[in-house]
Amino acid sequence: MVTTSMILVWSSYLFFLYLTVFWFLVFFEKGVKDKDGVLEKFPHVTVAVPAYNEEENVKETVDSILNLDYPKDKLELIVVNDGSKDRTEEIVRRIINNKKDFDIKLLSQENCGKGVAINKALSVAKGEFFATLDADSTIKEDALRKILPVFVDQEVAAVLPLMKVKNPKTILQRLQRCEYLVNLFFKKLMSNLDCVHVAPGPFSTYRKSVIKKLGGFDRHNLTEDFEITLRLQKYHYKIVQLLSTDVYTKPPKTFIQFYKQRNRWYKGTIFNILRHKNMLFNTKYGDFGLIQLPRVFLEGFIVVFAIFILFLKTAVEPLIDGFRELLSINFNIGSSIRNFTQTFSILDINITNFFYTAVTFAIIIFLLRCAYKYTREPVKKQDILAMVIYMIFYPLLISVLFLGVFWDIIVNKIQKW
Amino acid sequence: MVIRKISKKIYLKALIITIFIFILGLILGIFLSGERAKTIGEFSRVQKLDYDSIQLQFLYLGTLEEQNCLAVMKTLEENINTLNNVRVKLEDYITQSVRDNSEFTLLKREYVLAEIRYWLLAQRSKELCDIDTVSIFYFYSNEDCQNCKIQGTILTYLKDIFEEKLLVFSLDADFDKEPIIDILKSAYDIKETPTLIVENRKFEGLITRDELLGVICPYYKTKVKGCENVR
Repeated sequence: MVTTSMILVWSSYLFFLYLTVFWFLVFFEKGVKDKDGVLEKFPHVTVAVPAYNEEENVKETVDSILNLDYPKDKLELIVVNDGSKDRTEEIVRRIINNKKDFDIKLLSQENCGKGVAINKALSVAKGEFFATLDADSTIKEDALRKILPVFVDQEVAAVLPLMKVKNPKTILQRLQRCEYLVNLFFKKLMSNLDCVHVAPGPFSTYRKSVIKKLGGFDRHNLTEDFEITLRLQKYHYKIVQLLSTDVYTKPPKTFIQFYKQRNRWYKGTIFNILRHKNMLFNTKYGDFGLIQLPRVFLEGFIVVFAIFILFLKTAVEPLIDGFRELLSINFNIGSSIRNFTQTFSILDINITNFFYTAVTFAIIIFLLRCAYKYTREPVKKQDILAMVIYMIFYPLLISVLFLGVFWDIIVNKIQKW
Repeated sequence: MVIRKISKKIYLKALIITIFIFILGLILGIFLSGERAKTIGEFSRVQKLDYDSIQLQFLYLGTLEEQNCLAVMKTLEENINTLNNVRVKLEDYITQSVRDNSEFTLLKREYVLAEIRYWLLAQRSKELCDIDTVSIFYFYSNEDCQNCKIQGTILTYLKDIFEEKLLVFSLDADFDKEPIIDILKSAYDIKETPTLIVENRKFEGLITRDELLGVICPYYKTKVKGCENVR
């Protein structure tokens, strides 16, 4: 008999299956290669580093920029101290004094957020191209040499390196590494269809004239990087994901930090899409409007309702029921086990569910393989556990995060009334 | 300006593949249902033969001066056990099957009738053999009856202790395809599930293990393993 929860779970299964098959087809038809390009001349580039209480990381970040394989006189670095209460400013000043041959500027402001900080840098930037780098991230030397040739195509307004996890230590960080790599693989595929939906903070490089024309970054936004990408898409600019160079970022170590970060990201996603909701299902935006943006928007809702129900129905309820049953016989499980082993036959396996589950795992394993391969990451022993957790618990984790987001939105609404 | 495209071909191909995977899953399920029905059908034939056989055995016993009831009672208990196990399986299969399967409904009727037939036989054989057993009629429901699962577990547990000294006959109180269920339900005035009829005494709602032991044990005339701690 088909129940309501089964229909709900099946339809969301089909939703995700369809999307995965869709991107796999894109993969098989278009591949994931970067276009080769050689830098013939060296345009002026500005790198902006917004920093708030980053005394521990800022030096490493700045050093990685100064180490870029790029002519010094064509590189401008602007650190914007966003009202730090620690030694961030002092550290940056010391670097400026030590590296007189570099063009480094320090701007300071009262604490008013990343959007304002980046805009401040943008307003004084000399470069033809403008890159941002969060003060907890570092880049590889070849970054600009890989990124800039892509801008030969005049339609390109933003180029993204691979955003990877720096030295994952905790299991949560390893899990995020897994997630980042899978997302990057998808993003490369999305880039094939001009469907990139977010140019993340770490070293996304923009054509400055375009950003200026669009009025700069949104000043007070939960996720200004997502917002600017939406606007770039709105005005039909091209955003390209590269596979050939990396930027390393430090993801949250503890669950609380992780929760807060994701809460902000997901809220930002929902609010910003609502702001540009006329793009949803709009054929004027091609695949981006038809499949990509709706997915980004609906994902959270579907994950919450489907995964949560699935988890309740297949794990929590049976566990509670099983516990009550065992409690009723004082945990003398001998009779139950004997009964089970005597009567079990291969026909008892629900082959439909088994098949769907097998397909899902096959897809995820293939996906992980592709993700690690095309992002040039070796699979280490410690990663296996993270991968298993990713396969089994990641959807549940995401649904918990989204539940938090929805809860906050509802509670806020009630407070406003 | 990027020239926006709609990758219609990919949308279509993805749709076809997705539907193919989904339907493949359903077809596998239907195929499995067929195999399951076949297996249960075979069980059902064996079960009927077993019943005929044991009925004859009792008939034959009745003609003898010296009666060796114990062995036949043991067989009876085993038959009832098998019957019960297959019934549980059948019900699992019914809840799992995607579409209503008329084959399963027929099989379930057969099993309901078999339970009742065995119950009648057990009543008669008890008189014939004067043997120390307790019979329980167990009315349950498969829909929204969490307590039924617990009651079932308790009964399985007790069966494991008392073996042939406890006979449990389970009936799905919601199964309306077999008229005899309604007759029994009104005879015992069954209003809720789970309900247990222990030797004509009715107990409504969930009965815990210890309560049930307290009900069953006094019926035994001899000392029985499992009743030591029950006064």
